[in-house]
Amino acid sequence: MDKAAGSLKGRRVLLVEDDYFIAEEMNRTFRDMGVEVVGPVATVGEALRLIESGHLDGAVLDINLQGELAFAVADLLLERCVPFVFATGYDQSVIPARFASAIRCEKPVSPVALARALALR
Amino acid sequence: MNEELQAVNAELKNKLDNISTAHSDLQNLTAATEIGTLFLDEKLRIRMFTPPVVDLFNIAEMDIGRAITDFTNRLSYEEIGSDVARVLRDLTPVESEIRSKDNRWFMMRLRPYRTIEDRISGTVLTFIDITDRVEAEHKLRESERRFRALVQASSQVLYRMSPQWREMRQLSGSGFLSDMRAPNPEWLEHYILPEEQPRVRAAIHEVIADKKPFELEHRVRLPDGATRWTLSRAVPIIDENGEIEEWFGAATDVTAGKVAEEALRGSEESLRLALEVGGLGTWDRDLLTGECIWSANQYRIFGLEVGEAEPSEAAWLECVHPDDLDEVKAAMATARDEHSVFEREFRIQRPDGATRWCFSRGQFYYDREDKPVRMIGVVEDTTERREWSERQQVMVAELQHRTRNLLAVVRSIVGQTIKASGTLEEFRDRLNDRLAALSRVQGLMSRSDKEPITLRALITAELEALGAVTSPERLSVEGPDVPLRNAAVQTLALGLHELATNARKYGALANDAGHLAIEWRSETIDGEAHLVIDWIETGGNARADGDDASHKGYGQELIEKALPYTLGAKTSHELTAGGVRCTIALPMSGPRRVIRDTRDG
Repeated sequence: MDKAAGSLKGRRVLLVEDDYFIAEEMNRTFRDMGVEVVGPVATVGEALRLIESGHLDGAVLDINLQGELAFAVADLLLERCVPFVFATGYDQSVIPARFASAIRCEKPVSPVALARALALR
Repeated sequence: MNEELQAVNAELKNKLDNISTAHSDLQNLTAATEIGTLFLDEKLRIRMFTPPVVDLFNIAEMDIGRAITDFTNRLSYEEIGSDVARVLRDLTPVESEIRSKDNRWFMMRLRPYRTIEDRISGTVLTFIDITDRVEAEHKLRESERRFRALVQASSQVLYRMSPQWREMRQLSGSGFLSDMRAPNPEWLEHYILPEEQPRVRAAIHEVIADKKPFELEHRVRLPDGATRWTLSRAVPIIDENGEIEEWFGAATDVTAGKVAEEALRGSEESLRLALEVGGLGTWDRDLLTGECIWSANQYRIFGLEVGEAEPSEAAWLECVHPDDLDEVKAAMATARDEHSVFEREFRIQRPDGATRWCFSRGQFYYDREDKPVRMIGVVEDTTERREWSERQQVMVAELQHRTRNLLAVVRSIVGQTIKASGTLEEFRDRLNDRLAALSRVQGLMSRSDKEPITLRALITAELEALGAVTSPERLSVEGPDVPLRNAAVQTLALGLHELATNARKYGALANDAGHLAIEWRSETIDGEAHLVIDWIETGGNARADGDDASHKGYGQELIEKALPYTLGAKTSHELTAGGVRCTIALPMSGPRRVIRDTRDG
């Protein structure tokens, strides 16, 4: 386990990803790192509920959730000052300027790389 | 005797009276005609003369009887002596025009003097002043010479026409047109093409009435039958009564210019058409006068009827959307000041309120002092192109998302397949199989703009790939046509693929007797509409949970975990004696609705 990702140990991280297997792989990898995973969840509604319901140290956010764009989730994360990374197939051009500071990880991306990107936040 | 004398006297008196009358008649005659007459005898001695001769020969009454050759005459006529001698010898008159030293002209006739008895007794010279006539003749000759020189020197066609243009009096063709030397009433037929004749006639008619100069460009027939263009001008020659005496005209070959002009007009027309076809509007502003020209397209692009507005810079700017106006003005000012090209995309507001996007390019032109004097530009409606380009951007973004997402899915499938495969061969077969399923879904999705993917299409595609439809009696597929949301298709397809593969390998389609029924319907579960799919295998190979546990594991995980997670489905999956019995209930509303509706475009 590299150092950067290791810094996530014990942190509460929300995973928002609509593909079950990808979400599960992330889930497993993050848990193996000692991350306290919140989720994973596949919809905007569930993600918003989880952000509202408790403290978060970080989040990994897929942008397209079964056809619904997850920018509302990103807005709430910004509002709560929760650092997050996008894990998406979309180009930067699709992402609104207000999220310019968020790191975008281009799919396909390994969960370890996501963890590293999140640890840098 | 006295009586006789008296009679003779009376007769004499009568004769004397007659002579006196004759003499006085002669006096009056010579005075009236102003004809100088000089009578000379055989020895050239002056016998008699009339007053006009006095000045010519410097003689007076007392000089009668002296020889005329003793006097220096004021005529340039030194040959008088020899001429008189010749007339007396030959008895034939001499006639010649003689110039005096003060530049007057006289017609001199020298003839023998015959007495009543027909005897020659000297000569008579008469001098008629013809100065005016000679001068007029000179002038005429001079002008005729000049005219001939002009005709010869000129490359122009010169012609003379009768007052009413009924006949052509003369035409010198200068090698361009055939010459016409004698008056000819058929000139129109001869020179002018039939289709041009009405125009020429009309122009003539107009100038004859007003006695105005004639000017017309028309086509003419050449001697070789070819057709050329001439510019013909004629002026009326007016006599002292104010009537037209004749017309004098000149014509030049303007074919080259005309052809160039027509070519120019043709190319202008082509350019106009090209701009029109290209959907470009043009404007041309004279910055000094403020005068503006807009093309028809310029009006149309701005949503105006052609000619509806008076073209001007202000009218143009008025169409620009208020939010973009400052930028457009600034860009124009910059282009003007920096001698650069004005180039801007901006919105316009049409009179009907519609907002459109336009792209415009323009250029300023300057005089020698660098003062902008003219601006020419084009404008193009780019609304559709922009919309199209925006749509394309969205499509490209979606495509990127889909491709990368697909790679992520493939990555995950590879991971899952590796975990469940005992050998590399097994891994290869299963992976290929799953990738093929994934590829089929991609194919359906790429066509989904035109035909929405239906559940039936999805199921049919999977069964066809297995070769299961070759035995249709063992298969029943029942349910309404339901269009599926693209976002839901991939996961559902992968689930159906695992079910079908397993049925083929281990279940109802693995032997010759089994039956597979796939039925779907909508159903309310927990108060929500669901699309419920039943997958019922009967008569297949009975199989135990232990069979190929790893493979079954992926399919089962898909059905039992992935579909609920991703699609919010409620699923059941159980092994029965005849195969698998599986139910998948998918929500028909909410963010994870499986059914395609208007929101899904």
